[in-house]
Amino acid sequence: MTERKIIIITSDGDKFPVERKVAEKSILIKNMLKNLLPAEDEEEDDEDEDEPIEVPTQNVRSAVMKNILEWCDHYKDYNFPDDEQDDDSKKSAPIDAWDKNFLNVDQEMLYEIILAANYLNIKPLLNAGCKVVAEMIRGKSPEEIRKTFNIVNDFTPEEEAAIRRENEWAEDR
Amino acid sequence: MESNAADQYEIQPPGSPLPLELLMVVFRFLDPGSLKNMALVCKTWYRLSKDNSMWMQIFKERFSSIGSVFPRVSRTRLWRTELIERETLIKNWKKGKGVHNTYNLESLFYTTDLQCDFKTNRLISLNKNTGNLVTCSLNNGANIDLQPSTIPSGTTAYAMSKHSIVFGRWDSKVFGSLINHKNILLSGIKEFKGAGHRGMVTCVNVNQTELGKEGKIGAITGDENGTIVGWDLKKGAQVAHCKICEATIAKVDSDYKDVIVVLDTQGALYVVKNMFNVFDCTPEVHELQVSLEINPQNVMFMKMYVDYGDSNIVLIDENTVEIISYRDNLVRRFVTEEPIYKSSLEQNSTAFTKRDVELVGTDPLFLAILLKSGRVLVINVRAYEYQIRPVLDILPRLAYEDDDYQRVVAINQNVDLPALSEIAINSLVVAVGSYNGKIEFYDITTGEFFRKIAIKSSSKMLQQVGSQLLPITNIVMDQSLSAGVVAYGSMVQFFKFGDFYKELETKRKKKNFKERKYSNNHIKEAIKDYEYELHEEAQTASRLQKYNGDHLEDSDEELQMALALSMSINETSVGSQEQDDDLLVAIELSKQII
Repeated sequence: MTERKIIIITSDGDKFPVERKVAEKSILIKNMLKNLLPAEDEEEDDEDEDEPIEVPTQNVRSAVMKNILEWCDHYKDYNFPDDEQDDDSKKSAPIDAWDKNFLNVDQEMLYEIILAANYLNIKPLLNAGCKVVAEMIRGKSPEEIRKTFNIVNDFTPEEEAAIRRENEWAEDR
Repeated sequence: MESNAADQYEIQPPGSPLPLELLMVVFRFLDPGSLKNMALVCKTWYRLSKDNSMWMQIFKERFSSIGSVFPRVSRTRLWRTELIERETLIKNWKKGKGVHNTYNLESLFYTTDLQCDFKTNRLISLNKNTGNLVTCSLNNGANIDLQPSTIPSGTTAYAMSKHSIVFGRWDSKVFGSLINHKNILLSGIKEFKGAGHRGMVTCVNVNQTELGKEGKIGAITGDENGTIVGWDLKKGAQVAHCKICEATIAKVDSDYKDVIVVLDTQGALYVVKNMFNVFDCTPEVHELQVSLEINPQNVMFMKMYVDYGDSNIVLIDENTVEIISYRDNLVRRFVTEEPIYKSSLEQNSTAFTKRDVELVGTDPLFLAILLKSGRVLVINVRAYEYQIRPVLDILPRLAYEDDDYQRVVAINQNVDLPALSEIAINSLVVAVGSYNGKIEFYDITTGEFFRKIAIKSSSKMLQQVGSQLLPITNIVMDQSLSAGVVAYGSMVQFFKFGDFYKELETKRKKKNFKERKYSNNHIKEAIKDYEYELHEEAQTASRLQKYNGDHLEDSDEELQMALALSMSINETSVGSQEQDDDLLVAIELSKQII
């Protein structure tokens, strides 16, 4: 039995034909397909058997989708452990080298990938992306963090001093 | 976290590239330092730093195996604070650069009492054989000060804190002294004034946390006739006494605020209240109406802990732990298959602070028990299930991987040694020690292995005791930092892992300085008091000699005395001022004697 083609349509209307297992890295698409194709081995005489399934993703633009699909393709044969059973040590594990290289893009693209991964519900990619962002914050002063994220300092000096004091450790335990 | 993505884009904070929900995921991966800094970035992030439920979620995701009941490391309701401090501490315990200072204290052999004050950096040890009392700097063994043979002969019970030491004798007398970091024994061991006891003193308890103000009870002793006496340590005098029961008192414990817990040799438990009331000290004694399964014959050797914060008494018999709530008179029991070798209650102030279930982790109180096989069980003293189940059950690697132990057991089949020799816990770590200087540290909630340390020892020391196995005798951990002290043979090792939060350490130094200043002043005062007392005593003695009729040989002088006496009695107001005060005092004294 030949697998039905899946075509992902991006917000700018581009079409990306993909293998099912690549597309199913996205839990959103996986669930969608589950609804569309209740059971694969049912009657084969469905009239639209050869017609590809089109999946619209109105929140993701083509340039981002290209990256996402590259990631999904890389991990298509890898089964990620269930997130709930993830143990503590894994969460603090450093970013996978391939992911790190893959996510070595400009900030704008990184955020878009994270947003898309969140929307498409691709947890491992979302986590990897957030880890990269966390890495950008690590060891930086508040001023440096502001610079990195283009955030305006809206504290008055007094407020800042007050929060600094608040941040100090309380010895009374 | 099912995504309804469309909405999320709208709550994206201004100036921040990611929506709140995704920022939260980013925060999940931040290191403790950045978690602190994030609050200072902008108002939106600051508000996020205050979102307790969000931080609770992040905490639970980060420590998914920790469960909902756990001892907090920071006594806080704020999950972010707990998260930062826990992460920092764990990092230090696991990977922090180790600083180890080992020193040799000859008099430490046979020591069972080791008092460590991390805040003032002081170690006090009492050698039970020789009575030598030694104090030195905790972290490097410098500034050693030794006070030889301090134990009064005939001592039947004693207790010690970092501030004081108290001995009870077979003849109902009680002795004691304050201890301070400059002179070990501030005033020398002296007999306490008071006659509350009518028989052998069988137990002593000293306030571990503070010395207590003058006039307040700082130590409690119990005797073979069922009486307890409370002592003012500063004055060395009896403050109050109370007859509890007819049996011998086996254990006494107190928070030195409201409650005294007494266990007698019949196995009966009493809670005494209102003994600390300085204005109206009328102790109320309540016998707890509970049926215990502990063997009364063992009470003298039993461990008793009291959880004042949640009204629980813990008794540890051979293989039974009984937790008695003196609020609801309920008994919960935990029975082990093999004998309990040692136990340790959280080394912090939790037991003395009223339980606050709103705190992160619901403020439990953990007790660790070490079984003979080396298995470590941790139970929550404040768990209310009838059937107590351990929150942690591990067999530390040291229990089966220690070469020295294996070798000795193999050589001598009859060796009946427990696999591990010492256990200590605080709110984050359980430390176990085995033989010849090996210690391991584990996470108390997850059982995760943190690290192992070994103290290098001289073979000379082993020869000295003529044994191949020298157990770790004491492990004391800092309440809140990754630091502690281990004693083994005559060796002491101070360890600390990682640079602690800088602020915390500087803060402590400041506090330490204040404390020292305070205690220096205190010493000066005490010495003055002592000198004054000595002077008084000398005066009294000379007066007694001078004015007590019997000693006067010269009849003229006797006559003069009589005259003077009659004069002073009849016309005190007119009496010449030259008849100095000495005389009046002497008259008073002679009256007392009569």
